Amino acid sequence: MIYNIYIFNKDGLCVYYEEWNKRKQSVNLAEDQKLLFGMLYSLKAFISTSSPKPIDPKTGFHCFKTSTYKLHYYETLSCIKFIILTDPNTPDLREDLKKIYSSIFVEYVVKNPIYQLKSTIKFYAFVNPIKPNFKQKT
Amino acid sequence: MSDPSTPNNQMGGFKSNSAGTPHTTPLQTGPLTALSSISATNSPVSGMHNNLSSNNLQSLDNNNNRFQQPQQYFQPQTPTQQPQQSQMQPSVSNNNLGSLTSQPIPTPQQRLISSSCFEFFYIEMIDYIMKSSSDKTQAHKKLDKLGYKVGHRLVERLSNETPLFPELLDAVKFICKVFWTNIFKKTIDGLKTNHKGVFVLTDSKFQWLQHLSFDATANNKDCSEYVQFAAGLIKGAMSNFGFKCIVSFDIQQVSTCVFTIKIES
Repeated sequence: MIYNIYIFNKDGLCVYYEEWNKRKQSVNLAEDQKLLFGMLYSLKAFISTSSPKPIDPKTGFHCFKTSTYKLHYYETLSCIKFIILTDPNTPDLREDLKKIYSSIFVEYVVKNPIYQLKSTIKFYAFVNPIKPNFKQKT
Repeated sequence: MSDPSTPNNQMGGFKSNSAGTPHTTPLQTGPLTALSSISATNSPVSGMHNNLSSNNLQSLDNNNNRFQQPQQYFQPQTPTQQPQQSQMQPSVSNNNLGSLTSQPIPTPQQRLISSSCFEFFYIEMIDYIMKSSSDKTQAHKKLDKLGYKVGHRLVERLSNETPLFPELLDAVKFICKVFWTNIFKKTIDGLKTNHKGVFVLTDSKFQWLQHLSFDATANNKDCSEYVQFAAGLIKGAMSNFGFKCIVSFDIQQVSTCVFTIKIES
């Protein structure tokens, strides 16, 4: 079951957020997004310092799991971060996040003539395909 | 080491220091070694380039034949292009930069350009023109003019092997097939005419609107500025064939464009 999805750009701005099946409503969404971005930032630093072997946190960090949710993480070379929160039993969704990036994000956001850099994304060609992409998994 | 001095002295100091200080030496040797390694990896590839270019010359000859026989240039060009594209794909998907150089790099003879690069440039060009114009009609006029000039030159380039068109319909057909294929890798999907100087060209998958998508809540869903240039292209091409015309267009559904050519007699 998918709870919510975040897409952060390079500057830490949450350009896209959507939630499904989330029972607990957040008090302050913007604050939550900032917190998540900050947490990931420090987590990545922690990953690279604590690893016994040299590791690239961009590709080395896949997901983490708690008793109530699992966070899947995919970061592109251009530092766009795709994050999805699911229930803990969901298998790895990295490939799906990658697919969202390459087949939807690049096609309908990056190549979209009216997309302004550093703005939030509401294009229907981007928003509409995301849901069915994960419906099969839920 | 005399740092606060005239530029001449600084240059002299730099040269004499370059052997001793570790900071300057890697900077100087770095690019040189990189260059030599590139030329080394290029040399075995150049043989492959020759093969590719000779293949390509053959396909060009086919194109020329196609121009000389007007019935045959209606064939889609895509089959000849597909093998070249598939050759390029591994080099794109490969993350290893070292092996990228060993892949056949497309040569100028292959006549391939990055369509994404062009489209991004096109987006910025329109953005620039829209911002530098006082209103929309002025911007559209500018885009139309630009398209006119490009179309005028382009059709010259494409039709230099083609015999003269005795009839107006042949000129329009040339635009639908050869001209359009060279710009958009596809032909016009529908051509209608009333035989009195009005032609209606329908492109049901107009390339420059393929990736365009509006906010679901947007009120202003006007994207005519991304088509105006193409209308200018048609106008320029027709004028080079000696037909003065007015081109108007209409955007239907998502990416269907209908161009109407009205010949002025």
